[in-house]
Amino acid sequence: MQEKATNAQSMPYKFTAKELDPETNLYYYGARYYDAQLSRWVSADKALKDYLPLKDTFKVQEEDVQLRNGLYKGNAYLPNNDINKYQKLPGMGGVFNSKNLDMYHYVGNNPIILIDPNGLWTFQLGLQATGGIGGGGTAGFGIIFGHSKKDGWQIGTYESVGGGGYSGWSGSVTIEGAWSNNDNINMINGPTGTVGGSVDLGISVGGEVNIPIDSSTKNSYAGSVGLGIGPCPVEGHGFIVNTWVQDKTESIKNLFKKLFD
Amino acid sequence: MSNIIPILFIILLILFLLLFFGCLLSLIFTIKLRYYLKKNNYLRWHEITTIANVSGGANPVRLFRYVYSDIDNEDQFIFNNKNKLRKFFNFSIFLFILILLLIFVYFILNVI
Repeated sequence: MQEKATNAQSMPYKFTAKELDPETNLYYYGARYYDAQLSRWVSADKALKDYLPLKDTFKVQEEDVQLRNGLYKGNAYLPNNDINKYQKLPGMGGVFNSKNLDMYHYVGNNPIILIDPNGLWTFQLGLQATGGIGGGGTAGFGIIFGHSKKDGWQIGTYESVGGGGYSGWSGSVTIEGAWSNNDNINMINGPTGTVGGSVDLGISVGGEVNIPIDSSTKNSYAGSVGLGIGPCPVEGHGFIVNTWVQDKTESIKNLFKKLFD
Repeated sequence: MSNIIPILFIILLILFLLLFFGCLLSLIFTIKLRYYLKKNNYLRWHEITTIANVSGGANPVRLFRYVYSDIDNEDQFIFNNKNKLRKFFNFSIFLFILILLLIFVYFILNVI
């Protein structure tokens, strides 16, 4: 399914808003390229390993060996044929869903109704202090989450500091949440141009767009709420903000494993 | 405990959305109260929107003190508005502190 633009200046983002590579005529989805003429991916699904019940398979294989050697001490031998317990695997049944075994299919061969949006996003939540008179500054810290098919769930910490122009005379201490469609939380690292504003009437409610200096990363959109003070209750600002991200995914997983296992 | 990250994420996202909703309602009712006071009790409006003789704007300390006090409660509109504002303020402050605590606990866990 492909649409040809009649005008001379053709937009590069077409099918499901993904970029069409004019040289290869393939759509770029981050993890893979998609051929719209064949309705097929040009490479295999990298998420295959997520569909495989590896841990249980190894456990049953181990029990199998123990049984054959007369060393099995369990109450009963359960063969690995309980499909119901794999229903929670990614892809609605993992390898037990036949569609997942076709490594090149696109959205279950149903591109009219379904799309594959990649599932890539990051979300920051933290404490932010912003203020200024004519010129201003901002500083904050918090937790950052991320999810992608390739890297799975991610968690980390971030700190940010910035400054620039501030059209107002006010200050605020807020909880800020920011959303982006980046592939990985580490892509939030680095400088951004930030444009935003807020209403500070005791209660502060504001919003921001963060445009990364590095053009390969995507914008993030933030909302902030908290306490605001100032003679000028409405402000707008344009800052250069640097953000430092520390990926803590493995340490957090290990910590909770130690706490609860 | 491999599902701990999505569980943490969902909890914090819900808390943040509730906080956003609470603060938005607080802001709407604050604007409503300020507008009413400016029209009907200019001196009170001036008092709660001024910082140490600078100019009109926003003074959260005076605003909070006014909302949680019994001053002007004989006026039914102010009384009702202050009641609603108190509920939204309490709700938002509780969520603000809860999110902050969760973030601090997370940072402490990372340090351990």
